[in-house]
This record gives sequence, structure tokens and C-alpha cells, in this order.
Amino acid sequence: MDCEEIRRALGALADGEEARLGRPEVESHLSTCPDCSRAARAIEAERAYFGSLPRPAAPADLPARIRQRLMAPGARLVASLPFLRVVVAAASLLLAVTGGALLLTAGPAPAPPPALTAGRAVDRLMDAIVREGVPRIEVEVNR
Amino acid sequence: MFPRRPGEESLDEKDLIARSRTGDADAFASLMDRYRDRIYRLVWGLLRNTEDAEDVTQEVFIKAFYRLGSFEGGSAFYTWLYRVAVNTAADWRKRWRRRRALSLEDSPTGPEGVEDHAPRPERLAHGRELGVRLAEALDRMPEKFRRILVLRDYEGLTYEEIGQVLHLPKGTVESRLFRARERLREVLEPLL
Repeated sequence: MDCEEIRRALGALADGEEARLGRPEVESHLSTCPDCSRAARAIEAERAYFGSLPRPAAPADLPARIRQRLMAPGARLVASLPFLRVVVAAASLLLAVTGGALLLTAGPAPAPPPALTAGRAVDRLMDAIVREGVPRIEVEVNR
Repeated sequence: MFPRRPGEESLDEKDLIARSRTGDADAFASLMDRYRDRIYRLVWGLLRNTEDAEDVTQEVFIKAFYRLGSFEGGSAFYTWLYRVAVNTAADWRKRWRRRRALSLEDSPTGPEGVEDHAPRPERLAHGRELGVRLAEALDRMPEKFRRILVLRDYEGLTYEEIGQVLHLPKGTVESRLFRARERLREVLEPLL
């Protein structure tokens, strides 16, 4: 019997899922195959390791900290991003249409695809603001 | 493991989601209360570092708040939230790896590294060695293998549930778990 097939079944059986081979077939193979027996012990060790890890609860003040960040002034900018996304998407569409029209009139030209789409750029901006807050812009006024 | 199937959120939860979408922070706080421990535990399992888990859990909920508009109910809310958590933790690790690569220190157990949660010294030395090897192997493993092992063996999700979170067919979940465990087997073999 194919050892790979046995090891696939070993994992599925250990996980309580349906396997292509039944438990008796797998056990019978294990009694004669040291490699697959080691594979079975490796799965046991891995599961025991995850079982031994702590299952911590969230710190009690975590929701308050999140709420505080949601109420921060920068968060209002993030909240406006869905609107910004629509604006950027509309602008992209306009550019694509006008660009396409230009291409049709000017003939084919090598144009590499943009690495960063407008939607993705907004996503990245939002992630950066969520992560680091809105960058502070300081303006010096000379009188 | 998952409390509900797609579209089967309670009326109360649907209402909380709808109100959160309009920017109602109180409604979102109630959603947070329901899921904070599970999301924190999942993130901790993926990062195995308390400080990072706290920061990433905050990011998860803040992202979720602003992205609720993209939650269309095609999957259960909990599945969607899990997906946000898994992706945010992966981004965090990517940034952490980049920072580590740039820094002079190259220790996987450095100040921002994975905490040592191997079995305590009072346990058998052999078991401890296995735990240490496993922790190191998991830390070096490609993200797609590590996350699937955590979802399966730490979170206890079924293959179907993992498929919902990662947007993968059940067969791919099974096959990816097999490959992840084969990698671990290679590392553990000398000790078994």
C-alpha cells in the first residue's frame, strides 16, 4: 500500500474527518511500516503541542482601547474612506475610458499594467491609518 | 465550532451588524463583546506573542468596523471576522519579518519574537525538546501552512470551517494540512 495514501488518511482520521482509507487498514499498515508509525507519532506530537498552548482571554480593557481608537479624530477620516473609494473608483473609470479612447485613436502602445489599482491603494491607505493613525501635518506660518 | 452558518446570524446580531454599518459604535461594542476572546485567542495562536496579539486584535476590530460595508452575508459574520483576523495577523508577521531582516538582531526569540510556550521544565525533557522544535518549525513555516495548522489544531475548526475562512475547497484544506504535517514530520523525525 502507498505510504503517502496512508499518511494522508492518518491526518484526516486524527482530525475526525472522512478519510479515503478506513482505520483498520491504516492501523494494519502502521504495524508493519516504521516510517508511517513515525508519521503517526509526529501528528500526535503536533496535536499535543497545540493542546498544551495556553488559551488566553482578551485583556479586559481591550474593547475600551479599541473604542478609544474608533473615536479618535483620525478615525473620522477612515470613516470617510468608503466615500473616497467611490470617488477614486469613478476617477479610475473615467481615466480608463478616456485612456482607452486615446489608445483606439493613437493605435497600440506598450502600456504595462498598473501594479497598484486605485481600490487597492485606498485599502492600503486605510490600513496604514488604522495601524499608525493619521500622519500629523505641521504648517509653519511666517509672519 | 462556529456558532452559526452563513446567513444564520440571530436577529439580534443582524441588527447589531446593520447598526454598526451606520457607524454606531455601541452596536459594534456589543459585537466585540461576543467575539473578542475568540479573535484574541486565534490571533495569539497565530503569533504566540501577547503584546502583538493585543495590537493585532485591536487592528482586526478596527478594520472590521470600517469594512463591515464589504460584509455581504455570503458567509457567516464570524467566518468573515476570522478571515479579517487571519489576514491581519499575516500582514503583521510580514512586517515583523521585514523589520527583523533589517535589524542586526536575528533571533527568532528576540524581544518581539515568539514567546516560549514549550512544555515547562517539570515535564519530560524529551517532550520539551519536541515542543521547542515544533515552535521553531512553525515559526519558519510558510504562512499558508502555519495558519492552517493553527486553525485546525489550535482552534479545532473542521475542514469545512477552515475552507470557509480561507476560501478554499475542502480537498485543498486536506491536502494543505497533509503537506504542512509532512514538513513538521521531517523536523521531528530524529526525535521520534
